[in-house]
Amino acid sequence: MSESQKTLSRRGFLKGTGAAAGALGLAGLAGVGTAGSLLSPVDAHAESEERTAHLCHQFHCLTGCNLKCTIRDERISIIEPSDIVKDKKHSTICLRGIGEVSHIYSQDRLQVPMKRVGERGEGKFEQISWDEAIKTIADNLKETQQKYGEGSVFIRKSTEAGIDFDFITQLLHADAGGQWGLDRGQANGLGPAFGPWSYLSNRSHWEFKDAATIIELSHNPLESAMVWSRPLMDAKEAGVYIVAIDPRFTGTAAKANEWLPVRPGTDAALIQGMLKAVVDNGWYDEEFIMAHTSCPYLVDRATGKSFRSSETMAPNPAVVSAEPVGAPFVWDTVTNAPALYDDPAVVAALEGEWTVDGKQLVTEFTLIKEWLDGITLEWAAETSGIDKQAIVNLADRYANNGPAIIDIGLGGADKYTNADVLGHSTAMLVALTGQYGKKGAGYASYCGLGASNPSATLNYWTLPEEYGYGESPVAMYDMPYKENSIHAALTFGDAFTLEAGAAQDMLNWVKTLDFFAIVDLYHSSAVDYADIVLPACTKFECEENVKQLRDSMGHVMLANGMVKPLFESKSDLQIERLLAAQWGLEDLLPKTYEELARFMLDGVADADPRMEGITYDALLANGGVMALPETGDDYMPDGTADFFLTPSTRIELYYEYLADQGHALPVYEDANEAFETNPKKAQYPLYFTQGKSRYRIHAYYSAAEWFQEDFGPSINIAPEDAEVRGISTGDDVRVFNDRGSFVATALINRSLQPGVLFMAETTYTRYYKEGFLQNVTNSARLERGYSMFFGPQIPYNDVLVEVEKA
Amino acid sequence: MTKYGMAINKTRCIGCQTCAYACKMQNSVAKNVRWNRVLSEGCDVVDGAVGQYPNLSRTYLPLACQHCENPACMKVCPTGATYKDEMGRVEIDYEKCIGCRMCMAACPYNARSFNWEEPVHEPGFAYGDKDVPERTKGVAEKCTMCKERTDRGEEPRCVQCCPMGARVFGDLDDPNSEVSKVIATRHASQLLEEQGTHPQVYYFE
Repeated sequence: MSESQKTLSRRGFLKGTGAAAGALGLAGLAGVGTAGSLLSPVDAHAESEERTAHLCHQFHCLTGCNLKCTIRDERISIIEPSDIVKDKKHSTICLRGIGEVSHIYSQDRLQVPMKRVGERGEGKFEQISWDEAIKTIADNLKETQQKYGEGSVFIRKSTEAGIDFDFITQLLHADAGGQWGLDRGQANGLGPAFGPWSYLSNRSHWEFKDAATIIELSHNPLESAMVWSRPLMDAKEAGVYIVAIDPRFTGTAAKANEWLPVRPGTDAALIQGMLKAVVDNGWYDEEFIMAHTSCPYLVDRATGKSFRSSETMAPNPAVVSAEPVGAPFVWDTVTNAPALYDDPAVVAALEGEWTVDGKQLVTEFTLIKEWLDGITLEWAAETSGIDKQAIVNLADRYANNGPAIIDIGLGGADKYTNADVLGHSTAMLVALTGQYGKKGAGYASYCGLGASNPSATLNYWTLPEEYGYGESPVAMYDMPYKENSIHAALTFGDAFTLEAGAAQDMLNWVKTLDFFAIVDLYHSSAVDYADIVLPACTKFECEENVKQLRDSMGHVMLANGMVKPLFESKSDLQIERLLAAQWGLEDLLPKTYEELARFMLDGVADADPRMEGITYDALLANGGVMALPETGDDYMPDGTADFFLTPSTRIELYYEYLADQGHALPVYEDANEAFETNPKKAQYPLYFTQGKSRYRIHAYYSAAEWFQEDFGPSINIAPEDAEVRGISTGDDVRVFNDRGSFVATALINRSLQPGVLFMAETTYTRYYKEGFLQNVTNSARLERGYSMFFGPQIPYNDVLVEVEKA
Repeated sequence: MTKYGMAINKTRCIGCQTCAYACKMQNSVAKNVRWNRVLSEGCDVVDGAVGQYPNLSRTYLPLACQHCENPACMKVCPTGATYKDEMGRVEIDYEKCIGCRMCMAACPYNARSFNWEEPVHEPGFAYGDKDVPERTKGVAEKCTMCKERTDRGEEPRCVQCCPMGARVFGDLDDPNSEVSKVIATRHASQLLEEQGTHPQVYYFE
């Protein structure tokens, strides 16, 4: 048992502390040649010099806390919530912010530029100079482009590194890898109904307390992003009924009034059961349906195509091509003929079927009802594993009990091939019940993005127009499987093992590249496959006093008071400038973060008066933080149901573009691999799922030694699954399927439903005894996904495995 | 008189461990030592569950020194190293601590740690509050109610950093303090009341 879980009782305390002492003995070794040796031993604080600095922390948890750092002897010694944000509810921090004290100075920071001396994947490197490293990268990229054309170079910056700028990719007209395939499975399915960006809420999460019911659908904010889950706990204390739909008894489920443990990948069956109950019992909101949805629109039954005007066109922002479509027709009960949907004189029919010019025309709502006639609650219950009555009760509560919110996770259910069916089904449930666009109602991911905070207007540094991204005919995650012209790669961060499943396929493909260089902060999984490795510095470090300018939590935040880059690391901007200089293009980039920040703010108040007074100098005079004028408790955006980014600007539930593929309505289909009747279950009987942990943002923070004391690559297994395999907590176990295997530590945990495994998202391979979790994950693609807004998603959780003692 | 105490809202506690790391940072707590930890009650793994599937529950118990009014640790300390200070906090004079660990055996809350070896710090410098004294091999240590911060009129680091606002700190002798009001109105309770230690840390739901 770790120190952090030392129980209340005193049993074994002497033994426990003795074991800890044993571990301490080993720690001395770790300082040699690593972070420790750069830093003097613990010394007295008394004569030390202290200063404070403020910066905006991670974007990637969608939080962006402003952090106050106490820097003593040029080391970041304390990190605490900012005391200079205007809106004190944004004076926040979580363990990840605090843990930076450990993470910044981690032993596993990349310290110097290196070149590979062993085989790819072997992890043997030797130190080289920055000059040699930069020249080697440039020479190889130039040679590749000369030989195979500009599109033969792939360059991608990680989410965090890509904020504010991405110059080198555009300067080289490189392939940026196309769709990311991450966390937009439900968004693919709900986008055509509510608009492409509607997966982010149009109302504030501070409104949670005004709901009667909140359904956390595949969303676990209490562990993924603690800071913005505070409104959920406010709602709980206010007596709001909270339901968690999740295969796992998550932190959020533990706080919910009701936990519905769906089988992995079957959430859509549960939602369709709710739809069935809503429609069969007449629990839908006809007034809302007629005013705000496409339910009365006509469809040609024979072709499955919408019956549209050939004269009046409507823009179509909901499809990737954005090609306009004919405006839809409804059936006018006054004239008894088709009429344009938005003609104010028309009284449209909600249901019915008519023949016009030999065409059988039917309303969408009639088709929806016919489709639901083919679904039974018994099927929904059997497929999802949730009791029939529980499904009906939830539908009743959701539809008939006051305002309700469905808060979806970005991740979780997105990681199955059938996630679009879930998004489409839920969109339909929301639309039919009218739980949208009013106080305490809504449907989206209520995260730090979206409408929760006012946003700033900032300039974006652009390059001369001859520079820009090259074509990306094949998404990065498809490169091992689809013919492509990539011969060399440069990634800022570990794109190859984080942004793709089935790591063996990806890494085998990476091995075939003529050249691969990586810029990273830590010794991540992909580093071992790189020819050249460049050490980047953290966001707390910079060559100059200031760093990133960010728009976060209703404030403009300029990072300032930086410490110098540790070891030989450099900032992303200076690395990009060094690279650009190899092509003679460095003058197109800002010289410094100061120049970039000044540019981003220059003249913005002319375009947006709200930015008045928020200048570079004013920011510095205010510690780097200034609030937007609306920021504060009164900021509560009034998101309505009156306009959607769809052709008719209403919620459009019939997906004509998928009619040929049989998915104009959200017809249920099993996930690719994770379903009960899959014959593969005979060989690989366990569902393998991964998700967020409070100790990480994806793989980030894996290298923090403080967290490593408590948390490593461990696989959670239900007691009954462990017992039949003779597995105990602490055992090394091998997790495997046809795609590969890895070894991790078993944790027997009652929070798992039997038959389901859980592991926190990937961490660096160096922390595993063997392999890593991406070795077993799935690379299947949903074919219809290629016609969707965010492309096919990587089905990380659509995975079956077996486990045995290693 | 001032009697510092704390009340922790277990409904709002989401077990995020932020307070545990805030404490580690503030007090320069060494590798494999914790003054403050968040237990998953009744579980043998962090974030486990109790009950039979699917009827499960999980509650978290943030646990550190309870700053008892009648501290069992103080009574057994042979040198007077453990003492009750003028602000009602239980503190340790590291100079007087002889490492006998009687206090650890006496504490019903298992709140203390002992430095069997010279403490190791990762990262290898003196992170944390500059006023927090170093501890050496052979002394016991524990939560001080952030003595250095509370002496400066600040709230303890765990209270400041809790993302859920689950912790309330203040003067138990002042009936108008927020902490006193919360204890009175929310029916707060103490851990192991039967031990007669009278903790100044309260819990409520």
